Amino acid sequence: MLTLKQDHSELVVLAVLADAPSYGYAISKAVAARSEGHFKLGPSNLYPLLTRLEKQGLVTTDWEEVKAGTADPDAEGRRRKWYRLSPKGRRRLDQHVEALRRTQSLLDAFLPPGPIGAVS
Amino acid sequence: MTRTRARPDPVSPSAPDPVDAWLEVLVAMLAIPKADRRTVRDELEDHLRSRIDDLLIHGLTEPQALQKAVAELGETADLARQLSHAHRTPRTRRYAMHALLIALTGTVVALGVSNVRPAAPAAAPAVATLGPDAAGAPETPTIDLRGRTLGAFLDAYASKMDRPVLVHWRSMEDIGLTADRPLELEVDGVQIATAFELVAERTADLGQRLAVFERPDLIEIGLLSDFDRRTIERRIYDAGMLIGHLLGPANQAASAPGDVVVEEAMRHIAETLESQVSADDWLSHGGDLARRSIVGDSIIISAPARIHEQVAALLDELAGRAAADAVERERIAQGVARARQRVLSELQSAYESAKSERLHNIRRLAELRGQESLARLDLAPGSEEDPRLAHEQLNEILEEIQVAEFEAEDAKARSEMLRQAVIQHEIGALVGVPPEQSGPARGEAAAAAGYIYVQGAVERAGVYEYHPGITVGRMIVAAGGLAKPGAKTVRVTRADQVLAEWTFREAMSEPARDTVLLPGDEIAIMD
Repeated sequence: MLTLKQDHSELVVLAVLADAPSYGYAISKAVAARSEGHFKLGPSNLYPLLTRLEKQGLVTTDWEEVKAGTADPDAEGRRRKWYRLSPKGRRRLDQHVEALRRTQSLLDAFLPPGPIGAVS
Repeated sequence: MTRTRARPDPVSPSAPDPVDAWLEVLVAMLAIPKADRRTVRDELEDHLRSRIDDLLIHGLTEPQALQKAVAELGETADLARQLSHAHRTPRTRRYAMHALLIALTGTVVALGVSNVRPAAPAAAPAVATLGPDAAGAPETPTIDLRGRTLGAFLDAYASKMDRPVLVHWRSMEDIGLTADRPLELEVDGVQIATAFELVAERTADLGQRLAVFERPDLIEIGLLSDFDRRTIERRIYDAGMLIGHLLGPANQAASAPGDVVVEEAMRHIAETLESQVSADDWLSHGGDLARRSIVGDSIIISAPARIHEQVAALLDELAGRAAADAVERERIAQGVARARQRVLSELQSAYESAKSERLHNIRRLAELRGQESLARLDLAPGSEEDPRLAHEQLNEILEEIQVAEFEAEDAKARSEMLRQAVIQHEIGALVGVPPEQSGPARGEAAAAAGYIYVQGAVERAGVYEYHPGITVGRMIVAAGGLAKPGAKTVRVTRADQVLAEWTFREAMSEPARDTVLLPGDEIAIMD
């Protein structure tokens, strides 16, 4: 299981939010699903990261009242915090993508054209 | 799947709702403002309950689902720490610097937190020095804040200034700092600079900070990051001294530019700077104000002036600390050298006594062999001695010889072992490794490691560490000089080929012949 570096986790979360607004648990599921389970963004990394993104104005947030699950119909509702990419967040995402593309194309110059064979 | 292992669980079974109980524990650990605690709690509650619902759908029982969901959040205290950290202003200095020094020097630097420079908030100096107080007004005007909006405050602020005030509303409104934003600061009669600080604090929750930028003809008010952008410039920081102190003289001599050790150390230093100074503004941390690159032992930084100031201060501090550390290491190295010398002299005296014991054994054996010959004469035909008695005598002598031979063997083995130990220890002292780690190394291995062999008629034959530029003559001096005045021929062998051969007198009298050595060379001094 790969754990994400801080730089990459920001990119990943911004990319998930670029598709549609989302909330914490759904974001962590989307990250796992889109990376086919390779990336794990645990709550202890995700929520502090979301807080920072919010403080930097990269995302905006609002709250929604949710009815409790089917398990307990009498349970009180709870609040859900939704995150939405801000224009500034969109620019940041573009910067990340641009930087990654540049790195990728630089690295391509060093990769062999065919599949990498056994090291002699 | 049932779990029987008890977890030190904040979820008490007697509590009405375990999720609530766990959240109470977590919230109690959060070091953040009350208002923020509520939102953190609500968000994590949503996470936990969503997760539990999911796990129930996947067939777990309720206690199992609860336990798994909570376990996935990690250590409660750790989570609380990370959440608290994210909620604080990002410009707190962390003490990764100590970790850096320890990692680089391998020496535990025992430094109390009290030794560390006080963590000044990064934004404060810029505002304080640019604020109206700095203008040296004899009477500082005051301002009322009660009930004011941001716009009303800035109007009042402008009215007290001696110059026109330009407020960059457009960039402020982009992040939600509108004129009608209420400040909710219930104080009056505040000194104007302090008032501005309060307002800047109050509006800092939007991730940006208000700042004053004073110019001779104009006072500007806007976002700190916008002003920062105007003062961005490139400066080059020479980290050569710091690297030198951190790596020590021995490593530095061996490390050419591009050396991996230096590269690694430079990367450590640059990353320390990034994490210590205005961490969120660096390109590599997702910021867009500051960026750095490393060229050799210089760090090139493009950043606003206030970041440069802090970078320079931090580098000075690191260099000072590293220098002190280098002095300490030198002191320790001297202690080690003294200890080595003590061990060496003990080994040498043990070797001397083993040698004399061996000589004694040799003499004793010679004596016994003489007695044996005499005893055999007594047994020869025509001897007048009683043959039986003579036989007994001979047997006694032979037994004694056996014992003496055994002792002689033992003494020989011991003295040989001690001789090796002395040599090893001397080599160890020369190449700077503990005696048990240094072993014989010849040929390619020696060339790679940088050794030179000196053998033959010198005082201290052995393996020596290579130093760039060392010559045959100096090497012989380092090996204690010639053992016998009569020794004449000096032969230098490089890669199994004789490179030069001449008399010692020639070697010493004609500097041109004093060959400069390379790692792996062998010097032999012959009669």
